[in-house]
Amino acid sequence: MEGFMEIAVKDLSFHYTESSDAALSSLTFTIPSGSCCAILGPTGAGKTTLLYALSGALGAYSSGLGTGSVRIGGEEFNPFPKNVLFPRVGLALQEPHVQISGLRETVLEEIQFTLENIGLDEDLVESGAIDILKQMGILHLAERKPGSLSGGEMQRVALASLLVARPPIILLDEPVTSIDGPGCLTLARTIVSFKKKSTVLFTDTGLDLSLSVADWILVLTAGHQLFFGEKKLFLQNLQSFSEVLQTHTWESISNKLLLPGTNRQRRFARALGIQ
Amino acid sequence: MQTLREQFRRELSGASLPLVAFCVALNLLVGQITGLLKIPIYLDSIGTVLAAVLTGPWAAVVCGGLSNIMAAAFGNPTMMFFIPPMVSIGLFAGFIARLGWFRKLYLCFVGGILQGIIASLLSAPISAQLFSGTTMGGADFLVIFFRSRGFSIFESTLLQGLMMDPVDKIFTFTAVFFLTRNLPERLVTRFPGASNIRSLTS
Amino acid sequence: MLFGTSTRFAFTFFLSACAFSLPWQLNIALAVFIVFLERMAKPFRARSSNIHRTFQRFARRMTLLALFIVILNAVFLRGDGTTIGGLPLYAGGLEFGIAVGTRVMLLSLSILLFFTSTSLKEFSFFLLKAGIPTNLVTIILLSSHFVEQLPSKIGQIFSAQEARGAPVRSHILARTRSFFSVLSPLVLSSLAESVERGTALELRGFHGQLRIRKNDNERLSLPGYLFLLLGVLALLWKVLWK
Repeated sequence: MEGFMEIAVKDLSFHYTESSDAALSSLTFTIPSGSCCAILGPTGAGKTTLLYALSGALGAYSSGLGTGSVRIGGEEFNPFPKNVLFPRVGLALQEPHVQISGLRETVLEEIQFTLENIGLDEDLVESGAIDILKQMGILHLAERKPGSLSGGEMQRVALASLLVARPPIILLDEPVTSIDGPGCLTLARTIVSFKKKSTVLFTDTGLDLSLSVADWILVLTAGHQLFFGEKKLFLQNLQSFSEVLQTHTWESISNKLLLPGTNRQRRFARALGIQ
Repeated sequence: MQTLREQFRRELSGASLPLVAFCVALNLLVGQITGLLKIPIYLDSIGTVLAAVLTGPWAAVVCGGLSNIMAAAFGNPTMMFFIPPMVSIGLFAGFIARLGWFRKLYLCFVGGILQGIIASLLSAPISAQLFSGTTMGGADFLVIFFRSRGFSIFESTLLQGLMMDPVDKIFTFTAVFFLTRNLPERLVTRFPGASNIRSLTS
Repeated sequence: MLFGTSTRFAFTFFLSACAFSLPWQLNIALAVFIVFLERMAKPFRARSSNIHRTFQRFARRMTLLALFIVILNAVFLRGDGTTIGGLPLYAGGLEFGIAVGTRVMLLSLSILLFFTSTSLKEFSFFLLKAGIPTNLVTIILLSSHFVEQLPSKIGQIFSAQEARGAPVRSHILARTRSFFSVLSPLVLSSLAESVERGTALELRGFHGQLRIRKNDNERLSLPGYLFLLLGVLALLWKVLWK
């Protein structure tokens, strides 16, 4: 199991065909198995492109030039996967409504769709779907039509449709976009519960979720890697990212809302059950 | 040269699959747009032509056929009988798209006229044989006029079709020309028919 | 199940064959029978009250269309020139019109009966079982999903364009130009979404295969075989003997 879920990226660069600017430029980082990494950066930094590159969706669906290497669970890709790596790598897209297949009538059937694609037996398909709905706290949505869900509900169902496959590597593209406070807490708990069994990467435009669950932080700007390291190191150097990340975020951090050791951080960690 | 099976597979996979599904829905829903704007045009094959240009003739054939089946499923079963003309739209538009006709406005115009003639020739016998040329639409007055002048059911239906179908198809083809000419290249290159609408940079 | 999807499809085939083979009197009787079935017989009942209303609305419209066909042909089709009771209606045309009108009515009602009593899911798995390629069935399911979702999107785009000052309520030429200001964003956003959907489907392991599960796998029943046989015989009788 050691190294099975490790992600190692070296000098990864990518240009879309129709753009002169590099979408990714010489990224180098290694995320150990079973840990969680938050990818931070402003809009257009290359966060989504990086997730697509790691999942194989970029190679399969985009035209461009890539260099460098990607190593996922010991398998090397040069420069990155050309085919979608599901179920080994699961990617949840930013827009939850496109993740809903539209091929099934209820939320439960929608979740089962993923397991059917993997080729599981019918019994496992049924039980697996129920289990993930319970774990995500959305069992009450099982018989609802996917089209009738609110934005937040749809995002949680879209996540469930991915996590039900228990991929060893989980990539989440801005998972908290449409989710309210309680939903965010449930999502954080879910990520924490998946962390040991999987390696999790997610992109975030804020800091709350990142600082609560991530072990590693990667900061991108205009395709370049500004920082990669443990969360502790990131927080110690937070002021140097204040221009890249949003100023008001720096102000909220400078008010010591979520620095380690503060009361708020301890309460948040207790609520997540990680302290 | 790709076999027919390979062509079908190429035109109905990846991003093309949801695109064709959207085009089917567009055929069924374009009436909502023309209804909101209160403009008296049908354009109920615009999705088929769009699919033909962006994916290819075989995907457009599927789009056209399924549009009529879905129309029947949603409460208009008479559309089932007009599958042949709809399929012809997909085939014709797809093949002229491959010849690059959708890169020039005047060729879209010519294509629309030709397709209108083809569609009337195919729909007239169906309409005459099954419906005596009537559909309880506005065009029935034309059929009644021609029949009162002594033309047979088939001749009346054909003449009505030849007067109305080319106009509708000209609108449809030129609409697709304007819709596709400014699409971002990054989007267009995802579909098999990208070269139908522009010379690509790579 | 005695009247599952396959059997109802066989029944529709039988009725369609009757529409072309039987005299108009029997066609009228069968059309009335269909309306009765839709109301009273559980396997043929509409799936919801909205769908039931759609069926009724269509049945009324088809009756009017059939009458229109009858009158049109009675007025214009001379046949042997025999008129009806001094009125400007020709007997030959009347008979022809009735035959065509009742045929259209029976054909249309039988097709509609099948679709109003069959959910899209049942229809999709019926097609898969019949050997229709999976990607075609996927398109049917996806397009149905879009038909549900797109109307609100169209409404939003229409309102947004109106708010921007597009002349959506002006004279007809201006409204026709506004057609593009509504259609263009719809097409552009849907194309982008198609690319993402194609990606998303593959990211969930879908490569064009849809699985038929045990409880979707219903068979053609004995009545279904009978309907198929009778339908074929009716068509043969029409072609060979009539």
